[in-house]
Amino acid sequence: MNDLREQLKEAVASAFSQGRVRSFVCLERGFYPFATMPAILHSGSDADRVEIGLADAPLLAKYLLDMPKPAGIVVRSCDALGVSRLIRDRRVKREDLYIISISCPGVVDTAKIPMSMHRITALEKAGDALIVHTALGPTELPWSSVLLDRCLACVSGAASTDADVVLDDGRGKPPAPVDYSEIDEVEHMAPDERYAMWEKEFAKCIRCFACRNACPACSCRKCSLDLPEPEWLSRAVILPEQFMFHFTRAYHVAGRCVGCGECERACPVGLPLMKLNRKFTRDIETLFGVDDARIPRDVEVLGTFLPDDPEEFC
Amino acid sequence: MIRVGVFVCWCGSNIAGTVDVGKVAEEAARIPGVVHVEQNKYTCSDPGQDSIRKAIKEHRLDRVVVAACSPRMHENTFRKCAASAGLNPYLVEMANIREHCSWVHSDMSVSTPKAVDIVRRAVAKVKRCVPLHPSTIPVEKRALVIGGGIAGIQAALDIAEAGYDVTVVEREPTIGGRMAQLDKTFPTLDCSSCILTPKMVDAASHPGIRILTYAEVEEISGYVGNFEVRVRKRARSVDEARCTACGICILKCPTSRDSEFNMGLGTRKAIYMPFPQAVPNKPTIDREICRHFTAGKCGICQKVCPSGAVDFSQEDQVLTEKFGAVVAATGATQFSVEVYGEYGYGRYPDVITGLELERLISSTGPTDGKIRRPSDGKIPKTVVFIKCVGSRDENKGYPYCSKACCMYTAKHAILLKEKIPSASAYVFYMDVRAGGKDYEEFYKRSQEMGTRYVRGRVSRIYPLDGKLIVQGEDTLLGERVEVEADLVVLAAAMVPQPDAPEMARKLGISYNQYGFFSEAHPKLRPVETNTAGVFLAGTCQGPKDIPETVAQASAAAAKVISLFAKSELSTNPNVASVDESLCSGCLWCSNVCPYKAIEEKIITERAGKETVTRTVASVNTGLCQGCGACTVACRDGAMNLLGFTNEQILAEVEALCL
Amino acid sequence: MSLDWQPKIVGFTCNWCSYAGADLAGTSRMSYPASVRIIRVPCSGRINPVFVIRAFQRGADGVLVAGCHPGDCHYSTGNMYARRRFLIARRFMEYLGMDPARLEIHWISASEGQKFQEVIKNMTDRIHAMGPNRKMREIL
Repeated sequence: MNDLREQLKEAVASAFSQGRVRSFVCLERGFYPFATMPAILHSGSDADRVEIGLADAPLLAKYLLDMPKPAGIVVRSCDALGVSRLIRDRRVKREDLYIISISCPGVVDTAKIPMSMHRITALEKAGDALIVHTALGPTELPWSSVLLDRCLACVSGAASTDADVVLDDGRGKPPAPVDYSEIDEVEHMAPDERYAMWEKEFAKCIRCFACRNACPACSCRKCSLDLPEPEWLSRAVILPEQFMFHFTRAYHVAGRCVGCGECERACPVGLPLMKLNRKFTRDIETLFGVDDARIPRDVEVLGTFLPDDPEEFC
Repeated sequence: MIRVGVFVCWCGSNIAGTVDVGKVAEEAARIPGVVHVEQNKYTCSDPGQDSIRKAIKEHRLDRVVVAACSPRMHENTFRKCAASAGLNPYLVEMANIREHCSWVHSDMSVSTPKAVDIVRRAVAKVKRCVPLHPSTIPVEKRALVIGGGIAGIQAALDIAEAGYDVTVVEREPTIGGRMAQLDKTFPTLDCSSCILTPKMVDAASHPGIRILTYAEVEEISGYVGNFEVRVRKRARSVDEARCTACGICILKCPTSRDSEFNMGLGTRKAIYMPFPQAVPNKPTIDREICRHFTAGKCGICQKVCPSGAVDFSQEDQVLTEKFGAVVAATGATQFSVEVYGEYGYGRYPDVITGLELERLISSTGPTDGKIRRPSDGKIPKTVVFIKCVGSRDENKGYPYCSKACCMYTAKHAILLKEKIPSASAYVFYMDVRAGGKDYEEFYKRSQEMGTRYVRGRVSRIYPLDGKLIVQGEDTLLGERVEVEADLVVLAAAMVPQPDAPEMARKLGISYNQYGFFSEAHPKLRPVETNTAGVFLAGTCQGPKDIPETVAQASAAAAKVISLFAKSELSTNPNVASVDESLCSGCLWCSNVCPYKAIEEKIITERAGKETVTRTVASVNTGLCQGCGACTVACRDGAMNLLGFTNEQILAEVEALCL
Repeated sequence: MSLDWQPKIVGFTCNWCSYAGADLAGTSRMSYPASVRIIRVPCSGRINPVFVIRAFQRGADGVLVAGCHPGDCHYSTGNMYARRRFLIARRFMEYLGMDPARLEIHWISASEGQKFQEVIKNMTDRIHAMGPNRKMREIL
């Protein structure tokens, strides 16, 4: 782990010293010593601040939009897809980026550690366990019980190969099959039951747009949902508008969602947004024969067609 | 303030008979923004239109709704009417209360509220209409004809005769195409060369026509009136200006290969002319086999050339030019009959295709016009013709009818009898399709000359003692038939050029499941395509015989001429439009555009203290046809369709759901 | 729900085929229930699935999306994109709990006045049996 961090620091420092970047987005120590937060570096001398991010690591792709170019970024496999998304959406140019990819064993969600944050002095990964250090001594928790939801759905933690520097310590989350069982569950509900469930969920939504702001596929300069005219979405926080909002948001990322789950992580009220996004992903894969629809492509799934696309209309 | 006038039409009793028009007018008057409502018995009549003009002036109307028939019927009428009263014609909207209401509902208690809803929708939309102005685009009055067969030649001649410059691009070393390979033509049996070669010469000598042979179209961009075309003229290795076509180079050239023009039945040299009447009448060096290019040796042609025309160092020329219209006349090719293993083509030299027979009959062909079997040069006594090889066959070939084969097989049978009176001919057929002027008579004539038509398919051909045994079934008699033939001729289907889809993409036009180019409308716009300014001629659009090809070529030429007769074109103003302040420049919209009408554009703008550049989508209004597919692909709402904007459609939904 | 309740159906039709098909039903005097209200767009490729949600929000009981048959699009491929969009959008609406029978997609050519009539009849019958839509709807 430390090895990877040392290598990363070195790589960031040399990106600056070789003049490859004007800025660099990475993680640094957060408010709590064991958590991390994003940092934008402007000089190689800041490279010491770079952290790998064991816990609460946010994704960094969207920071690229406003950074001075050429810009560097450290990406995990989930973030790498987000960067690729921004490139395909022409929001950043590949030649303006310097990408360092790292392998990732998963990121700890501190909310899943059943104790007050103040008591934790340090976190440590040891094999398949997370060791939580406190003043009273260490506690061991199973690694998979404390991971972010997106890490549980992660297909592989190996470092992405589409990068300028690839740092893989071989300890990335091992490849796992795609699991759509949570989509199946919703599909198996009765329509009214399903509707009631979504009604309940959407009723929580405070329309803060954190999901949109965190999403690498939602990178429009100005979101259509913010426009006063035409009023795609009214300001009224009423259920029909919640449906409108969540339908539109999910439809706008249909075939474009990279599955990073940052929307869900950013949501302050805990909406299961990936259950919406992944419904589209799964349908696109099965209906249009797309292999792994999360991967950004040169032509969007909805920007093309096959003459014999399926039809299931009345 | 928006001032809408609503004109409710009775259409005699067509509307008033089943809709309470008085009630509709009354309700319309209550819609916010409506300042004037009137009823007319026939709004489309002169007095009806006069009353609209009068109301526009008297009530200072700036929007008009006509609640009457379908916009497909009279939208233009009322737009013109409004324009004559000084109102922008695109500020008129129709409420279809006839076709969609009074004619399909007889109960006034349901049709009247529906009519009111329809009017409400129209008012909601018209309030969000803005004045639109057709823009004009200039027309480059030069035509490009792709393909130098009879279709291309005819189109070029017709366009040039009208006084416009034409460039013909042909990929072979000569123009002439398929027709040059034919011996005689049905149903008149006049000699193909005798009617074609004068046209070739006419085209070559016409001051308005420039012919680029051994050349291919690489790229086409732009739009109607303003195409930009890149053509690669391949190196001929012969200076056309110096060459006197004496032919000594050809005579002395030591290398040869199968002649494409003679369908492989004879040979040609590495420096060659496909046929003696080639236009231009200059040889070409085939660099694939020429020993100077393959082995770095030889050079005999250069040595013997009295005018120093052979130039090994010649390079491809790339020309980029502007054209106002394009005629695609890229022709068709012959079905690969090898897939019919039971016929033994390729294994038995005496099984040949119709085009090969043409070369055997032709006096310029490898046998000087004597029909001789390829295997031993003997004169055949019994010839079997098999029709529908590759056509009307969903399993091995194509489901469509190749159209010309029935007639050319009848022609072959007649020519066989003329050349070898003692020969007997059998034709295996599925149906005889002889629709066309003098065609049925021609087919009858082939029968009268003794050709035996056997209805049924051939199941097997095998060689025996120097003969080909043809086994089949006569389905009319229900008997097995076996013919001992000397020669078998397969009527191979006409199929699209293998690179037709690629050409279609260059042209921005669509093609059918086989690869034939698609016309804009099968009946009413048969030579136009869905891309304005691109027209079709000949077999690239579907199987055709010569008369039909020539007729279509002239039709395509007429379309080009009528396009060029205008000094500028006015465009449909209902096109896509980008709000650059919203556009994120992702350009996914351009992906779904069927007309390649969306390009990227770099704009410069102030961002705080800095000046920054960014990419946005930009619609070429000359190319855009206004389908609106891009608007749905656009997430940030930057792309809109004028006349059918997001604002308008959302307002219409709103109005209908009230 | 009163006995003579009529469902409200918003129909989005392309100008070249389906709108003309509806016109033909009219010129042929083929009667059908007065449930449908048509919005004319140039092509089914112009129809944004969000328009459909808006219709349900504002009180539509059913929505019809109609375009040229695949392969016959006036703009050559617009309906092909519409087909993809509505295939996934309709499934998604169902996933949110909407009854998919409330959104129908049909290919109706300019010569299919009778098909238009049948589509409206059948759709009206089905929705009539289901009753008014209450899901995603603003005011009941």
